[in-house]
Amino acid sequence: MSMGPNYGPDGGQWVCGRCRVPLEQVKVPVFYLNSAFDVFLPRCPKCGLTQVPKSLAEGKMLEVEALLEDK
Amino acid sequence: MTALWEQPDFRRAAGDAWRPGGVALTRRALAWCRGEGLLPPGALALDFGCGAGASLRLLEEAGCRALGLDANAGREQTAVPGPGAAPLSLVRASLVCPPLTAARADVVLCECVLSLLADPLAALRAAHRALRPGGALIVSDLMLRRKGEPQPDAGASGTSCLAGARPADEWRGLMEQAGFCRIFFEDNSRALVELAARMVWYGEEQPGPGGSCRCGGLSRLTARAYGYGLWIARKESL
Repeated sequence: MSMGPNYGPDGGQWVCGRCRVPLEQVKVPVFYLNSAFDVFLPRCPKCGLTQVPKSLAEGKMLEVEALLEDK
Repeated sequence: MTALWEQPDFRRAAGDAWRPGGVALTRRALAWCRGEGLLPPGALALDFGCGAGASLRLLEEAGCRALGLDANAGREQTAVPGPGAAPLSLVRASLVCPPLTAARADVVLCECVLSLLADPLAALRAAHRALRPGGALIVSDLMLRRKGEPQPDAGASGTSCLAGARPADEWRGLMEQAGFCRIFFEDNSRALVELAARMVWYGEEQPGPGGSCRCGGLSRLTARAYGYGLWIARKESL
């Protein structure tokens, strides 16, 4: 899987609170219940802290989690 | 309008094998057959509804003579060999009346295709005719998880794979009616849920049109109603 959805910050210019550098949009693997998904997310180039935008957390991520949890 | 399995988003989510479980499930079924001595070197294997040919490649890697049958064989979207890969053997044919010599094949694969047919029993009978005595049929397909319960997408067989899904015991009954025996069953419903999750994640939101595969477009609610099964059955030995 070479491509994945692209989620930028929900708004504004974000910097890492610890490293004080702007977040960069990079491909990140997300794992949940033995399934792996690729997504482009804002990430600190120094410490690797990754931001999960609210729109993703409450949208696709929630829907996929619900499907995989099989409840 | 193109079928769901022809769309780029679906192919990104499902890979070359356009069905739940992908090639891993096919590999497992073939390994089982090999363990039973059903896939000797040079075995003739037929893939009913071969699509992109992912299973044909697996069969050839396993040393089989592989032939794919598909109603869309030869179209640009189907069975395109990768760079450097040998061309695949394909026949454009109806699965209910395929142009095959009787009692020659060692194995017939029907992966996620019977539920798309208006008359799956006819295709099973065609598979039975093509197999040699003692040969194996590998079926994987959508099943209804709860019998007698109204299904969100139920309808006439042949309009979509969801509409053609049946309870596991009905699929088994069709195989028996076609003449198969010694039927092994394994529930692979988790693979269906994972494909549905990948479809949500990688952006496919358009339901497929009638007559096409829609199993990757299951929503959270409908995914509960359907499952995915693997059956391996034998044609009685003489």
